[in-house]
Formats: sequence, C-alpha cells, structure tokens
Amino acid sequence: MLVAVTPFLFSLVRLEYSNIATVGELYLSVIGIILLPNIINIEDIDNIKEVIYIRKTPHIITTILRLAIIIIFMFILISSIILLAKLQQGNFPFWEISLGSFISSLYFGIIGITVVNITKSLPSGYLIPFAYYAFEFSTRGKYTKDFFVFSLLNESFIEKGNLLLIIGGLLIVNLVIIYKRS
Amino acid sequence: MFLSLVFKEIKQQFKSIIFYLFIGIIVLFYITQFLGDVDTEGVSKPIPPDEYREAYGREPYYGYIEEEDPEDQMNLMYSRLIRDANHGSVLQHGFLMSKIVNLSKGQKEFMLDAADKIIKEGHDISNFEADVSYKEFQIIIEKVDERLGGGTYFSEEYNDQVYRQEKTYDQALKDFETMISKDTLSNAYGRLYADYMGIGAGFFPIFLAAFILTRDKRYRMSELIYSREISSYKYVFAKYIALVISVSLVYLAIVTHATILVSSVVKANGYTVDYLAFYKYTFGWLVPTLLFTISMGFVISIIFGNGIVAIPIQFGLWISSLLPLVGDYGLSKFVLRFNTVGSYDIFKESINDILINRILYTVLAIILVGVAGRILSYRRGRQDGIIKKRFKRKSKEDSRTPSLQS
Amino acid sequence: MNIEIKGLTKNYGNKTALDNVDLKIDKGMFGLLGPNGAGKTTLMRILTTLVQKTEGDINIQGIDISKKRKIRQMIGYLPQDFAVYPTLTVYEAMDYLALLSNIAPKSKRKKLILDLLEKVNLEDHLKTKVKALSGGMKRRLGIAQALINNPSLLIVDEPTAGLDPEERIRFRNLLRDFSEDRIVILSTHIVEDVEFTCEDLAILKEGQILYKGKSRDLIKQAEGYIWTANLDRKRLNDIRKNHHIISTVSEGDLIKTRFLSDGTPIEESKAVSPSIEDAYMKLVKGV
Repeated sequence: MLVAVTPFLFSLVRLEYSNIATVGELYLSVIGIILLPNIINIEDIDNIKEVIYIRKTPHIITTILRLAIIIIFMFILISSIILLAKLQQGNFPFWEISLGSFISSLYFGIIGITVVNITKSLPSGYLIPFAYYAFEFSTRGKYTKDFFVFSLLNESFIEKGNLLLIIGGLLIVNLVIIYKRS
Repeated sequence: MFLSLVFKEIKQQFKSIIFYLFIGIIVLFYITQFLGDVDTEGVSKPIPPDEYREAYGREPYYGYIEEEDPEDQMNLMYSRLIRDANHGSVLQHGFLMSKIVNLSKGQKEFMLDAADKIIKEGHDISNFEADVSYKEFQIIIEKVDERLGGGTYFSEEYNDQVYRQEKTYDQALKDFETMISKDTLSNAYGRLYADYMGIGAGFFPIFLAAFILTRDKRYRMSELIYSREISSYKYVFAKYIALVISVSLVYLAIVTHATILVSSVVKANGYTVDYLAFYKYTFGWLVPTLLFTISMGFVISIIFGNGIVAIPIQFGLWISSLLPLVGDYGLSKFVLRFNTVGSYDIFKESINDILINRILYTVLAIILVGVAGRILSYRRGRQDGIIKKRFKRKSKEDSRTPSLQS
Repeated sequence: MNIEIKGLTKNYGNKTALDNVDLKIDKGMFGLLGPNGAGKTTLMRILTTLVQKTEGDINIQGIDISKKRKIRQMIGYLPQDFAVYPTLTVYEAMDYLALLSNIAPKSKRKKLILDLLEKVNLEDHLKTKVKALSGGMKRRLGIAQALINNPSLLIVDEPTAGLDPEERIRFRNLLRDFSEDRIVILSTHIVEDVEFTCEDLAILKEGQILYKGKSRDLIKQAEGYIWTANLDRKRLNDIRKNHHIISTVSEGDLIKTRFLSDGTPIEESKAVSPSIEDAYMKLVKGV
C-alpha cells in the first residue's frame, strides 16, 4: 500500500540520478524494515511452533521458502517504482538504482530478522533497523565508510557489494539459528 | 495503589530487552550528534578578519544573519529571480528530499516578468529601488512559487534561505557578546542539546509505547485483566506515566552528563555557567515531544489493535516535523528545532510561540491517552473476536459433514 | 445470593450462540454442561462482562449486567486459556492481579495472597516463574487469582481440561471448598467434573437449554433408557448403526457395551441405573 502511494508523494518525472537515488535509498528501503522481521515470528504466536516443528517438512525449508517469496516480492515492488520513474523520462541507470535500493532494503530487513531471532522481541526487530536508518541518515557514512548503506546518494555502488556480503553472512547465521531451534 | 501500579509497570520496563536497546540508541545518538558538536577545545569567539585570513588562508566566514529589512529582502529576491531564470533551473523541496527542476520556457518568462514588475525596465540595478510596495512584492513572489509548482525558495516556507546576509565581524562579535551576557553559553548549548535529543524523542519512543497495550492480547492475559474492577483510564494512565518516567530517567541521566561536560568547558573559558540550563530545556522543550510520541503509540495501537501500524504513522509525522532547522514553532510541529548555538534573538522572538506549542502538545498528549482509555473501556466489553472465529469455523464444518457426533 | 437470566440471546450476524436462555442460579456449585460449541463459553463471557448480550436481562445479586464496574467487583473469573505474562513469578502475578482488583494497601494484599496461595497449595512456589509451572499448578494459580477480590460469583471455564486424574480430583475438591459462601459456576464438557460436586446443573446445546434443575432429577429422566450387553464385534457394529453407544469395555472375547435405547433394544441387553453421564448423553443425543 505504501508503495502505491509513492508515485503521488514524489513526482517521478524527469528524475536525475541523485533524485531517484534518494527515493530508492531513503524511502523504498523502508520496505525491507516493514516486511521482513515479521515472518520469523509467526510460529511463536499461540505456540503453533510445537505443532509445526514436528511435521514432516523440516521447518527450515518452509522458512527458506517464505523468505525467498518475500524477498522476490520486495524486489518486484522496488524495481516497479524505479521502472515507473525510468519510463517517465528518467535519466539514470535502471539496474544500478534498482539493485542498489533493493540491497539497502534487504540489508535493513535482514538486520531486523537477526534481532528478532536473537531477542525474540518483534518490536526490537523494528527498532534496531529504524535506528540504524536514522543513524546512517544523520551521519552520512562518517562512521560506516565502506559499508555506508545509502551509498547511492553519493553515486557509489561499490559499497553495495560489501553490504551483500554482510547480508549473506547474516542469512546463514539466521538460518542456522532457526535450524538449531527446530 | 495507583502508584504501586505505576511502580510495577516501571519495573516491567526495566526488565525488557527493547528498553535497553532504546537506551543504547539514544545514547548513541547523543554521542554522535551532540557531543560531536560541542567544541571542547574552547568556545569560539569570533576572530578579526586579518587574523582569520592569516590563520586559515581564506576569507573569514561568520555565519549568516537573517535579513529583516523589506527593501533588502526585495533586493535579494530580485537577484535570485534573475539568476535562477537565467540559469534555467530551481531547487524544489519535496516530501523527503529536494531536487533540481529544469524550467520550461513559460516558467522562465514568468519569472522574468515578475522581476520586471519589481523594477521596471530601464532602472539602474546597482542602486536598488523597488517599484512596488512590500505587500505587492510578496504576492508577486508567491505567484512565482505557485507557477513553479511550490516548494521553491520563493515560497514562504523556504524564503529564509534567500533572505540572509553573511555576518560581518562586528555583527558576529555583537552576537557573541549577547550570547555570553544575556543568554549564557549554557543556555545556548542547552537549546542545541534539546534540538538534537528532541529529534530522537520524536520517533524512537514509539517502539516502546506502541506495544504496551497490545501486550495483554499477545500474552492472552486480556480476559483476566478486563474482567477486573480497575477502571480503563487508571489502567492506561498507569502504563503511560510509567513509560514516561522510565524514558525520562534515561534522558535525565544523559542530560546530567551533558551539563557536567559543557559546564566544565564553559568554566574553563572563564564564562559563567548556568547549571540548570540543560535541565530547563530538557523538561520544557523535550519532554512535551516525548509525551506526545508516547501518547500516539498508545492511541494508535489501541485503535488498530496492533502496534506495528503506529511505526510508519509516527515516522511520517516525524519526518514532516524535522524541517526547517530553525524558526518554525507553529502548532503543527511536535519536534521543535533549534539547530544552532546562540541565535538568541530568534529565540527571544519565538519564545511565546514555543511556550504555546509545548503546552498544547502536553495537553494534546494527555487527551490522547484519555482517548486510548475510552477506547479500551469500550473494547473491554466487546471481546467477541475469538468467538466469532469459532463460529466461522463451526459453520464451515456443519455444511461439510453432518455427523452423529456432537 | 443469586443470578437471574431471562431471555438471554446472543447473535453473531445470523448465527445464534445463545437462544432465549432462562436460568436461575443460587448459592453453591452450579454445573453448566454441554458439548463444545454449545454456547457455554459465550455465556461465561457475557456474565464476566467481556461480551455484550444481544437481548435479554441478566441480574447478578440484583445488579444489572450493564453496570460493568459493579459487576466486575463481584466476580472472579478463571478463563479456559488462563495465561499470565510468563516472566512473572507466582507472587508477582498475584500481586499484579490484586492491584488490578483495586486491593490496597500492600500489607492487605500480601496477607490475602499468602492465604490464598496456601489454600491452593502453592505457598512453596512464590518465587517460581509462571512459565515453569505445571498444568495443574497453573490452574491452581488461576483459582487463587480469581478469588483475590473475594467474589460472590466465581466463574470457572473448563478448568480440568489437560489435568491428570489426580489433579482433577484435587481441583474439584478445591472448588467444592470455595463454594461455601458464594456461587460457583463450573462450565465444562467433562461430565465427571460436575457429577460429584454439583447439585444443580443446566445442559446447553447449540445455544439452548436442554435441561435445568437438580442432578438427581436428571438421572431419573434417563431411567429405562440405559442398557448394557456383552457383544461380539459383529453384533456391536449392528447395534452401532441404530443406537448411540455410551462406552465399550473389552472383556475377553466380548465387548461390554453400554448404550442408549428407547425401549428394549435386543434380547441380551439389560437395563441399568443411569449415571449423570448417561443422562447427559441421552439428552444431548436427543434419545
């Protein structure tokens, strides 16, 4: 729903790199924070987990599936908006912006997931990514340098690679935790 | 008894993980934002231009001062109009960001026409004399902003970026003296502190507040609680006050650190210290923001039955309250900004607005909590949720297999 | 001390959970029996002010159910899925719930809590976290918290589900003790719970009262309808088609079967005296 509102919030016409970077990095990345942390927690409600864990399909498989679906969904959402801007005479490299924003979004989301997994507190899983977001926003990469999340604002894509490494690492850590737990 | 309840809730806060995460974030914010800005080597008295050039090898910069004089404003704006029109683009402020917009032919012409209205053709530009009254001028400029789509420097909101001059050494010195004598450095830094910490206070507490009332539902304790005697208002207010106190304690600890730090710097430079300055600003400036944010968390979570909704709503409100960096103390701002050290004159002018704003938000916060209590009271007697679900399930079963078993 | 319910109806859209229920409940233990989905829990939740009635009148000690605050002062509720914040200890949970029942000052609360916990045999677990309690202990805590405000009406919803036989008996006795000076409504689908403790009961099915009155009268109603026979498997299957089987017990090659019948069903069968469970089954199956 939030995504649908985007075209109305910002005029997506004739955008230059710096503008679309802002939309992607600052706004669309929030999608990751909202969508991802939730899915880990589902089984803890009403103790469904005791029923789920003993079923034939290993829980880890369903988690991976669920994650995959949401992540694909996120990518589609984000790139659609970027596509919309591109189609309206946007002047920027489509894939760079799309992937870049997607990676930022995924990054925040995976952090949220990790927090929920460790603390078992869903609110914390929202708080930390948002705080990270605010931190990066206000310090503009001063402390995170090569891992600056909003690197597209500086027209730089290299950092995204580093972020991907962290995302990958965290994914593995989380899946291991979930696997051990079930 | 009410106090016992409040005390228990406070204890509960201090036992929760997210509370400590919250503390961590606020402290981090404090360190990176405020402490970074405090000049611990010495308070900077403006240096005379020659010394400046010698020391830094460039022209001195003493900051900006607002241009109040109508004639000067018109002059500045006129130059701006011409410059932007010839350059072919303007800066346009949007919701979260600003972008450079290329002007169409029609827009450029409109701007040049407007400029012509201000000074009729043929006039000597070096000796600026407007051909219109100040009021007419304002209308002309507003129309320009409209024509350009709003959010430009020509609008009311952003024209302060145009109406300013660089301070001269004398002006800078004068400001500094005012700051030392009438304002005191403690107060000047106190406002900056309240500015930075206030930002955090306008958003992060929502993560604590939005999940408190829904906790009962999550832990399935609502039946036990709602069937008890306690009034919904007492119940909600106890939780509210407890959270406010818990969070305030955190801010109190931080502000004490800040006071000690800044006071020692100020004293070391030989100026007077106002030990209460930071506390004044924390309670007068910052706490109403806190009260409001927390009350929003309560009320939104009880209306929607879940806490997550409150986060994007508060996020939106928060972003819209963060700009401009100084000066807007209207009623729509629940976070008050003052991102500068000193500027005592601006502060003094706005003090009434500030006071009204803070009182308003405090009252609003309390009303919102009351509303939350009222909604809880209503919902308490209408816990149909689970039963309705059972019914849907049962009717599905009935239509499928008629059975002998009950 | 009594409860008067007249014409109570509760609808959810076009589904009826309770249909024109009339009941009068006096001091002591009152059993509310019925299959799952009969409307028992709905009735309980209306009595505890958690759900609004659609139609009808309810008076508890002469006070109308709409006066929620006053009613809540008088009632104690042990819900079906009793749960408390898991990180609290037994004492903390009681203290918190007592506060929510406006019990002050602290000394009074403390005394009450210790008394009650002793009565339910949890006095050695004051510092135990709620999440570490066994099912039976949790239920006992549930009873204790329901009694903290000394209610005139104690409502207990499916209290023994999930308890082992020993705990179940202990629990029933506890309830019996607590019914001395108050009304205790015990809502359950386990007939045993009611059998030995309640003189008066009502049976609810699909929102309607099938029976209300003394348990001994209920038994009388079923006389002549309960039969036993020792059958082989084939015979059993034949019987099963036409009659409701109450229970079966293997006895060597044959199966001792207990079943409902209006009139002599088969030659080998013998009429027996009904128990409450039998009578309940008869009513519920509509024999």
